[in-house]
Amino acid sequence: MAAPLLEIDDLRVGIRSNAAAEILRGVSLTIERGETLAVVGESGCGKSLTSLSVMGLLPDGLEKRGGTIRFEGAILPITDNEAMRRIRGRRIGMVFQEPMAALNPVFTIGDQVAEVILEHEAVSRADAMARVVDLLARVGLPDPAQIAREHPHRLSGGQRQRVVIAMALACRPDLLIADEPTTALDVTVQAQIMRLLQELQRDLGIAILLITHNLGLVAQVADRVAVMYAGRKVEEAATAGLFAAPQHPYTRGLLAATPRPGRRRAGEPPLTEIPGVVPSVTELLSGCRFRPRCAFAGDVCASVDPAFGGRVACHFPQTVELVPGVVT
Amino acid sequence: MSFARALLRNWTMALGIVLLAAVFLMALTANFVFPGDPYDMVGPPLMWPGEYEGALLGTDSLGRDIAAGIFYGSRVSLLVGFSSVAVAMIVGVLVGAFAGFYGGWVDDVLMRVTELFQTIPQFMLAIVVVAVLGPSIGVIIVSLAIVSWPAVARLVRGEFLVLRDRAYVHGCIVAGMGDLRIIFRQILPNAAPVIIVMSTILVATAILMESALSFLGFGDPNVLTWGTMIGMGRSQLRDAWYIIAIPGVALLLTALALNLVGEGLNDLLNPRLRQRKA
Repeated sequence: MAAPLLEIDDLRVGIRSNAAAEILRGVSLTIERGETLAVVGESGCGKSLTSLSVMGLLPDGLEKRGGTIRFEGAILPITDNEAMRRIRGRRIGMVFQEPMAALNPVFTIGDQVAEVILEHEAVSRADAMARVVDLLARVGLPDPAQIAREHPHRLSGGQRQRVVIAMALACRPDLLIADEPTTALDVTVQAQIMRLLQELQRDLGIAILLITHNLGLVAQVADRVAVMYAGRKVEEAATAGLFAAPQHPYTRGLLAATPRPGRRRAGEPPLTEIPGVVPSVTELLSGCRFRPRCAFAGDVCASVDPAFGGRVACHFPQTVELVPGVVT
Repeated sequence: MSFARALLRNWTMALGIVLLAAVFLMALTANFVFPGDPYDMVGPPLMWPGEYEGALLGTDSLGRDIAAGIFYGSRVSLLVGFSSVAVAMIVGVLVGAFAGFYGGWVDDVLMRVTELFQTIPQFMLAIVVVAVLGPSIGVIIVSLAIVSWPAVARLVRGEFLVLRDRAYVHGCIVAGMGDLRIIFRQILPNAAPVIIVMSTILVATAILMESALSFLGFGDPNVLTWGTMIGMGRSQLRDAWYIIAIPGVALLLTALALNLVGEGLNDLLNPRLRQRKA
């Protein structure tokens, strides 16, 4: 079997000035070619940091403490900025959350997208421009030649996000990391952007690492879901399985806190919240990090941090299925 | 919004541009209007403006034409003002851009050096440089550039600190763009408005400082400048005040013109104001 497209193995990232503080505590994720993996979790769980690590863009003050990231079987030199620069944009593209601020206000759309192509490939400006117009058409923008001549402030949020996606795809990467790609957009536009990503994935065969806290989005588009909590993966499963029978108490909590139409009629309990907050990285906590917020915690949870066993990292995985037939 | 219409709405900037154009015109036509050397004696000394036909703005204590001095002096003022600021801009933008973009120890080192220059009073530093290297136009330009660049560096650094965390800069980084490309092609154009506005103010400051140097006798002795004229007219202050008043007014109007243009450009280029209008 060929190596997976991206393989993160036991990635550990900590704060340089504090040897005890670890933000990523052994994250392992695998993405195959052409698949969509969703990473979900509350703010501060390390979702975005995981993706930044893949790009070799650890924020100042953080350091990699261990683990490997392999891309097509070869170890990514994530601490070597020059080597990573040839991978960023060309092999791995990335889309951020804020489309309103994601484009440089002083340049035309065409110039900005062309700049990415010119950075990586030895093509003439005219050729790059021609490709830009193709790309803009590809991401579903009407009258791409015209839009290439516009400045960003003339575009709507959804149009800008399409441009940002076009930029991320300009050099035909194999992997697209989408960090909350639709959070800042109107609901109707959100759906359009996600549909666009799915189409592009189908046509171009790119893999997508989707980082989000929108579980509705996950249910629609992801092949597999990894749930992260306090710098660790606590559960991973195929999307349908995870929604039908979440095993980790945290996953169950997330799902119970997700509004969905028809939920009351289906006989589900009303929305519940997970008590407490994600523990801070400097908080010294023995055993399972979710224990203080968990309704199922026993004595063992206070002493032993549960290992990830194929599906879930929990001493007391829940096996009762949620009400069947409500998986969207 | 056309440039001409914006100018009409902003009459102070239009006034500044007219004054500045007049100074440039004087500098360009000095040779044709006053073919001789401005140091030449053209008539009796201490003629008040209008008193002697050969010198419209009067003559100084040695019978030199004050109008000729004003025309030739404008050349020096503009040359020194714009060249020194050009040099200061290049140094200041480079230092500020790298300090602001990279942060960390690069920022620490560059900013400490910048502060070192700022702790010495500007004018004192300029005098020291001229005193050590000898008075010539080139040295004066260098000395004024040396005292002007720290302000540019700090301004540019501040802009870069803000701009480097914009989402589009992050976008360029994840697109694998090189640092230099990001600094000069992505961030610098966004910082350009404030830099341009500051440069006009700095030119005014540099012109005033050049005059002050000349007044104190640190100017290039081979060229006549407004500061030299004021310095030489000093002794006649009580009986012939026009000798220093006329170059003084020329200085004042030039500095005022540059400030008006700078303020007008600020209104035109400031992205926040521009967006409000759009």
